[in-house]
Amino acid sequence: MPEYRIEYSKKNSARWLSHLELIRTFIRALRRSGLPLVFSQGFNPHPKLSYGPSLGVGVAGMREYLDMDLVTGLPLAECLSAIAQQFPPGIEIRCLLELPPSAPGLGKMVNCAWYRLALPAGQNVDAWQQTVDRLVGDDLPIYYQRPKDGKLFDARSALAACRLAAAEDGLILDLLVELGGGAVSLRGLVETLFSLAATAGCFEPARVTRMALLRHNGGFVNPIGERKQLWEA
Amino acid sequence: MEQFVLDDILSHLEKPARYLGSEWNTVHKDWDGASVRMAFAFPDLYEVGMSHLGLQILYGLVNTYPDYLMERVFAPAPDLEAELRRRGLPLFSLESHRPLRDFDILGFTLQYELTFTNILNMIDLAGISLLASERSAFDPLVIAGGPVAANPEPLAPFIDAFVIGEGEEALPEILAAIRQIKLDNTRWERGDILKKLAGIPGVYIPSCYSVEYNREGRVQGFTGLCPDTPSQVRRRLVPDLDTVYYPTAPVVPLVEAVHERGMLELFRGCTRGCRFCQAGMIYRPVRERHTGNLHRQAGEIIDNTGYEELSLVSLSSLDYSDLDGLLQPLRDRCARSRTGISLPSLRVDSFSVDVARQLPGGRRTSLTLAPEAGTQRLRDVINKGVTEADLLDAVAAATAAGWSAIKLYFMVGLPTEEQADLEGIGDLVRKVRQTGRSAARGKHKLRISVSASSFVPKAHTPFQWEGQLPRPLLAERHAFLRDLVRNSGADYHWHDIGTSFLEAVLARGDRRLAGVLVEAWRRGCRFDGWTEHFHFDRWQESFRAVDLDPEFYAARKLAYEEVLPWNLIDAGIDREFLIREHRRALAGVATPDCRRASCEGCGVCPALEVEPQLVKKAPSNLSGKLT
Ligand code: SF4
Repeated sequence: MPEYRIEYSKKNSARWLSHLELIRTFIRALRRSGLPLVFSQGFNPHPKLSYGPSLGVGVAGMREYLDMDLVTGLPLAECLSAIAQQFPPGIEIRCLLELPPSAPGLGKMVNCAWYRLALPAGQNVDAWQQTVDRLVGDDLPIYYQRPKDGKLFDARSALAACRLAAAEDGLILDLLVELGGGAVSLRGLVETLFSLAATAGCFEPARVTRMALLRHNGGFVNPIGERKQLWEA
Repeated sequence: MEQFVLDDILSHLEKPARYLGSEWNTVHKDWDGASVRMAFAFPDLYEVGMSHLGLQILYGLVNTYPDYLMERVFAPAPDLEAELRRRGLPLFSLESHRPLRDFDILGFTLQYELTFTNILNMIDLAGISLLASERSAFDPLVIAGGPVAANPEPLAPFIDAFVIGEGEEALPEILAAIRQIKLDNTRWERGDILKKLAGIPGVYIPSCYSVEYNREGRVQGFTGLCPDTPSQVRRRLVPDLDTVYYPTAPVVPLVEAVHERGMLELFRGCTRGCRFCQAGMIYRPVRERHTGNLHRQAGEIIDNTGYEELSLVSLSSLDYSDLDGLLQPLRDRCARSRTGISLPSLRVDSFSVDVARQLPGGRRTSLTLAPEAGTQRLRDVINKGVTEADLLDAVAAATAAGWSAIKLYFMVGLPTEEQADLEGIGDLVRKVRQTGRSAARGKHKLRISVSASSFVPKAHTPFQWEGQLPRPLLAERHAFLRDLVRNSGADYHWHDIGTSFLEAVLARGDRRLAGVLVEAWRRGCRFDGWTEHFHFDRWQESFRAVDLDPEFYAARKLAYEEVLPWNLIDAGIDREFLIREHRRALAGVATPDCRRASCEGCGVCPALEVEPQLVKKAPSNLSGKLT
């Protein structure tokens, strides 16, 4: 059965949907679209869909992914027009492609995520630059204490790369985060960085955007097969 | 305030998606292009309100008019209320995130007495005076309707106008009147606006009446304060459901609602005549939709929502007179789109279980049956036409079909209830277990749970004159029943007694209770129907503060001659019929369903000039267990 990958963005008001709410939105949109979805067996059949790593409530995603199985193959343009108009505002279908039969699933394929943090106004640029320099400069562990059990982790183990940049309306911090470790949450990481920079601020999901999901393997490749440089949109 | 809400407030909330207003099928109208703007206010959480059919009907209906606009607002969860109060911001609508004060009309739906403090809270958060008498012509009109408006009196001082009965016709008439007033250049006084509305059938303006009380504190009478106020306000109803608007593109919730499913309303009204049931009285007579119409609506709902499930919502859906004609095509349609079909409640008999079994996705884990009382004697008193054999047949059919859990609903504290009736529940549970065991033939184990609520006497029912048992006695009976049921191998859950007590107070209350509502709201009471938010002590303090005895309202048996606080409301049911039904109840005599037998003379049809509408007149092939 042919499998398709949808690339979409989740922004504006849709950023406030939780992962579960997003899933339900997708299921209903795809059901409305009339595409020949593949359903599970049983009394309450579910369409066969698989999702990329979840996004927190309030966090936007520029290029997110969803895989679906269809009973029969359809021309991509036809598929795309069937689903494009079925989503509430803030969710935009960017593109669609048919996966080769042996393509790895999203969970297997993606191993890192690029998050962009818009820092609140009035931040101390030097303090942030020093923090970033320290993160990329030495190997000393940066401790993060997990609130739920007090265990200590090295926050840097979750961080593959990091940079500070100036945007039109303030400073931005780009973080390339390793997925799959699970020990240090994005919130934990960001809060650790704030305390390292010794500036006022906390984790505000609405200031965070996931720019890309990638596979890091020497170079970078995204789930629709595009090769990318680090920090390349 | 839209940008502010989206940027600044949402990040502080636990479930921000409740307040986005961007659900599928929402209507975002041009604000300036609308001549009348109304906010539909549901005084409970988003998750509850979005499961409610009435909201979808009126929202869809009003927005079909090119120059009317309707938006939604739900009771703010405690986290949003805290944010609004901390920042001094008003409560806003979901679609355009505008302050409620900007609307012409704020309309509440009354589904449950224990949402009353939320209504006060929402009016206050909107920046509108709580008391209707303190509002000016520039304030929005605050109206309310829904089943609980069958006795609107405890809310009388807060609401400018009530709509009694079904709103599909009355609400557009109100909107038309407001449009005319707005077009008219003269400056209207609020009193004049209300007087104009009073001329619309089904509209009850509480400020047009004063209430007199006698020395015992009972209502003695009402005096009309305006020249042509009617002595009673008669309920509105839609005589023909096939010609009325129905929402086939309902708003699909973003945050998971209590019920996530499309709703197909087969009919309104139920004439089985359970004597405790208010819905069974105030929606009479039965009016069925034609099968062809229902098939079309079902298809549209499925296409427009993408719901996984379609629920046949009516008071007793399987009483529909042409069930075969309805279900076969519906099953086929739903099979194509992998849509399950569900029934919110099942009549207690094997026929119903068989029907449910054959519905796609219909065989769920748990089956709910409501015998309501434990002995035949008491079931005759309440006119619940269910026998022990019906119940056991249903259980056998369900177990054989593979259901592994059965939920049984009972009521405690029904009029004439004795210990033997409670013991009867224990016996029934044991028999249900035995039946389940032999029907399952060792293949699986049947889980049984019993849910017991406490009897609440309701206005416009034959039991309106009955009292609720005092709380200690109710607690004793629940405890007794709990032990019996648990010893018979079933789980026991009961509805909070304090909550049921308050429901009884408000359901038969008069206007003086408004003072209690204000006190309770000031003491922080909100979401009283939610056990985790219910503070009985605050309510007790509130009754003391205004020197009213709640027992007077909940527990007292009323005399037939008394003037009832809801006497201004004419539900169309003959008072003599209710008295006769009450007497028959005490004598243990059942009354048949006029759907199957002849007219029982409840008075509704002549009073409201309607007739029962059945799509298939011949006696149906239903088992028709009522005798
Ligand atoms: S008036 Fe007669 S037919 Fe009409 S609802 Fe009442 S009992 Fe039924």
